[in-house]
Amino acid sequence: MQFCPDEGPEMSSETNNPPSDDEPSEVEMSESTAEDSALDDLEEVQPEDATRPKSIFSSSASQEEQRLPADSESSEPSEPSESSMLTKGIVVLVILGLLAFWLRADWQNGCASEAIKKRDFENAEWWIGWSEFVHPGNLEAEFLKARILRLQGDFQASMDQLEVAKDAGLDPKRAERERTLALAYLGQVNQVQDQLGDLLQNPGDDAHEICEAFVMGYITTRTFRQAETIADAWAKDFPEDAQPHYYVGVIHRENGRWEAAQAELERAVALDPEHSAAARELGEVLVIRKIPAEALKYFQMSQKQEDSQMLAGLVGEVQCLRALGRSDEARERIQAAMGIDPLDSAVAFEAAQVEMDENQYDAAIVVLEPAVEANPRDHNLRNAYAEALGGVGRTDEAKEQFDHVDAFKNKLREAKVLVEELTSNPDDPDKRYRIGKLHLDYGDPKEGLIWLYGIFNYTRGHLPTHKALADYYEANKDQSPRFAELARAHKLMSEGRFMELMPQEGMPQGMMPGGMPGGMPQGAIPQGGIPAGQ
Amino acid sequence: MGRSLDASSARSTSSAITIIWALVACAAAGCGSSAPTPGGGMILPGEIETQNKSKAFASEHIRFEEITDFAGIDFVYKNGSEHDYSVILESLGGGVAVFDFDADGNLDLYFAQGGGFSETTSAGVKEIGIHGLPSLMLRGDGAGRFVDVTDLTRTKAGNFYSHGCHVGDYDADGFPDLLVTGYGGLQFFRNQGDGTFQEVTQEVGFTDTSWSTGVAWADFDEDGHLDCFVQHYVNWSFENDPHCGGPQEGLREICPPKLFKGLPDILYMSNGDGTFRDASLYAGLRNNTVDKRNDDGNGLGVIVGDVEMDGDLDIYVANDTTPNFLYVNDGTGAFEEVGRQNGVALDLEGESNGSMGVDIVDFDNDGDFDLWAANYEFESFALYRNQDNGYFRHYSNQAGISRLGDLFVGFGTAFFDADLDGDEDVVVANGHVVKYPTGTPLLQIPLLLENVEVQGQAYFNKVKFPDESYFSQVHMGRGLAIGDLDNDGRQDVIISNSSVDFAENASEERAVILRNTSIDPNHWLQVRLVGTATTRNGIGSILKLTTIRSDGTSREQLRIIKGGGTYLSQNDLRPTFGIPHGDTLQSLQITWPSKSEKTQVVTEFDWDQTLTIVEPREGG
Repeated sequence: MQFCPDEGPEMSSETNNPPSDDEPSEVEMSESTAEDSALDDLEEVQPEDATRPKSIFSSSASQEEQRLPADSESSEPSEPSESSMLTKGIVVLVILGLLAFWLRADWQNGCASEAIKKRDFENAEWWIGWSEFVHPGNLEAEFLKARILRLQGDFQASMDQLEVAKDAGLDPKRAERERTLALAYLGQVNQVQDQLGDLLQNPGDDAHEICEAFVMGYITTRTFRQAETIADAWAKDFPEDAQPHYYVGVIHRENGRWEAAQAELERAVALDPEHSAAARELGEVLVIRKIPAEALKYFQMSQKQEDSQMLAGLVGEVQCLRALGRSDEARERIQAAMGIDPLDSAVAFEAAQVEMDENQYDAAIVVLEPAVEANPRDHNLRNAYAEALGGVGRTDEAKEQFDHVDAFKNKLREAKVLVEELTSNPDDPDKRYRIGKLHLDYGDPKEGLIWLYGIFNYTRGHLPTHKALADYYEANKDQSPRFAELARAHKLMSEGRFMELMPQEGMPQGMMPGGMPGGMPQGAIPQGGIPAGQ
Repeated sequence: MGRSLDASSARSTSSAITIIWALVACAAAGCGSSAPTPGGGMILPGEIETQNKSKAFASEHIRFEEITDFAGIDFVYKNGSEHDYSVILESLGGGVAVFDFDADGNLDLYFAQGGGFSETTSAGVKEIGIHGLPSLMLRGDGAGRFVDVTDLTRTKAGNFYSHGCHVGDYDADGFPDLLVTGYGGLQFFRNQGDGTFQEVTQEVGFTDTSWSTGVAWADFDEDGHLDCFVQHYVNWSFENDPHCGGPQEGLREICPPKLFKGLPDILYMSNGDGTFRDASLYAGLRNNTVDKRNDDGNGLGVIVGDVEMDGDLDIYVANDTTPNFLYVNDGTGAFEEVGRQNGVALDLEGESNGSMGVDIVDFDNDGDFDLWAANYEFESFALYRNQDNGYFRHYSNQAGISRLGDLFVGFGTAFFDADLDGDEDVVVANGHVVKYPTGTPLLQIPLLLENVEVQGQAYFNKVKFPDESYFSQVHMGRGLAIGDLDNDGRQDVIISNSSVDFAENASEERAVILRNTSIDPNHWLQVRLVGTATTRNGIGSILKLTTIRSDGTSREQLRIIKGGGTYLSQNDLRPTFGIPHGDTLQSLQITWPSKSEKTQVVTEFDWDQTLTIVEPREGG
């Protein structure tokens, strides 16, 4: 776990002295050099700046910590001198000062906020827990808990927690702002985009959160131009923040601008080498660009941070090792991945390829059979399975599997054509409906749901879409308790029975599919959801 | 994207200013972003930039010199892009045929010449017409120089917008005939043997009026007469021409093939009397109107060879964005399409690629034939290794092909032993197809991949050429063919580039001749087959050269007389073997394509020559 005070000097140095293009980037500096530079800056620029208590405090502490050993060396060890007594006194004072500061709720909450910005929720929750322990029922802690829930994608729990914070005295305007960000983050940007200007006029401490919520929302709804505009402004105003570069990289990737995606993601990783999502994304872009040797480094880097996508980094590593012909290492790494989740479709696919690269078709079948059963809509996995069956001479079974893949892929090809056609008329809801339906029926249902809910950005009452959604949720209601509610709601909407829908149906007012401005209600996507940021 | 920290220049909106104040406030409260942590082993952006290009290796021996001026060739393929219609027709480009039309022992060249567009107004309605332009026939002197003999030979073609040129001696008279493909039909020229050609398209029954591209000549039903497989692309026309937007409002982009439907290919089977019949249905070719599978394929490249090593000729069809086909022959000219089952339809991820150029080769000298397809950007060129009897495995990873980088939209391609070291290397002409590519450059370098041995396995390294070399500069490559133009035993490369003429890009790059000047050459053996019972040029015959290494072990190299191959182009039909220093000759075995798999073994021959071998007649 990383303790918040350690980050103080670095934060201050960045704010005062951001790197210019001509100067060596901070990632090129050694740790001690960066810290020294930060200390120098503080001494020269703002040694007594009363508006920056934390920065000064933190830097002073570090300063003292750094100087103490040198002072000690110059002293006689056996007879404490006046200076060494003074030094010890300072140390005690510093420790006491630190302790006093550490016990302050705003400091703990500040550290929690900092951890939230880095999407290090475990650390954030630790700080919030400490804050609540020292200062039970403090408002900021309640608010930050709601924010964490929002960023974890649990909209409803986040809203409930906001209510708790409001009951405890949270400013209703702040609660409303958080709700706005939640809606944006979920992809319902069209409901809240009018508020973006106001939010940015008075961002408080939330400039980063505002930008991120809207960028994510626009990416989710595939309105990339708006997403890019905000992310660009964000990057300009926070030049040392990796996150906007990460998002711009994602936007470029989504638009097939691979070189630009690579450049942005490289910036993100250079700014924050611990940004595992950016490192992983960069690895994936480099794999697509057929530069596996480079990609390998980033996939390995992405695994230094444990997160939910760590497996993806491991799979990427295997892909690269195979592309580099390093089959023994590939086998070793895929075995590690299989140890984590052998049914994960990407893991099983790569494991099977490792086997088939060495003509071990029987072994590939052992891996693929359960994985295909667990991921029946993964056509690439099924294709590999068919290939493996063919490899052991089970040609009839192979043909059956190939035919299955063919039939489904032909349908998805239709969807691709429709996507191309959409470029000339992006507002066409019927075409969007057909794309969504094809994905829902033949491809990745998540992709289908995103397309279908996206229709509500263009038209409020597209009945076939409600019908398709109702059917989908009805057929899959055992996947999530939420699906039964959604099935009923969409069925009513598809039948034009808008009035029968009440806000307490489980969807917050303003998020009623179709009846109100569009968007995707909480819990509408099966587990895994939409790929989020770091 | 600006990265300036200068507040006066970087802040143009009030919201941006607000964000800055927010940053200041945030910093004061101690919530600024964390500083980047110095990362051990971190790769710096500058380093990535330098490493962004895939690695290339200087070859010890392989050298090429552009001799287009010396050759006296000044040919530019016209695609009509200057009219700015931005239609998919412009993107295909044209091919080149390398063949000895006058049987004087020196290779000649033919370049297909594309076409253009013209507008007419009839009763107030504007119509756009598509017309062809005259192609170019060049006679070679055997030393690398050429003269224009288009008029003399009467091979202008130009009836339609042309793409491909393909050679087959359909009447087995020893003089190769010429088939030109393109938008709107075929033009077939019979070589009269006196230095002139006569167009006989309709007379022989080539009634095709569709959009034809690649062609493979071969005897599929083993009746001794050449048959002809003709590929078709997609159902584009000015009546079926959707608008595809460019990067800015008002700019038009060339639409991708997936917006159109693929057209069914045709197999013209010889009647044995100099005429052909459409035998597509009998042959079992994919045809959507018959089998309703919606997968006719967007055909661009085709190669014929015996992938099952069972004595009959199979067909591999490269389709653009749709799965590739492998038609295996039952020996009668009836086929079963097994591309998927046999592992050559898709890439490793199970996706169909944008396949253009193709070849067949025994790249690892293991005694069977592997398949190769040059693909679209971000798709690895596909090397399908023959595992056993026509079952393949995508082998690009293991062979080093998947680490070449993403820059390439590959078209004309051919395997040949550039340095005569006993294994086949491969060349690819590259160039983009759209006007405003976002992922890779418009103009691209060609590739020469040297086949080297790494830990006992065949592996391909991108050869690094000097900066001034043609191979180090970017081009709009399309058709490509190989042949020994100067009779020195080293196969030369001919590339037909396409025009670029829109917006700020204007390039009328001519076709080029790249003379193989590889140094310290090994020995070579070129073989010319003369079929008697089988077809005249022995298409489909398999040649196995056995040499003995200095350590006493034997080295076997396999070649096949190929039908089709590369992209819209025709390689010289005479295969060349490289014979490394230290090897001694042992035997050359020819297996003629027939049910009886008639073999012939030659032991008395020397290297550094063109060996002519005549198929023995029955009982002879």
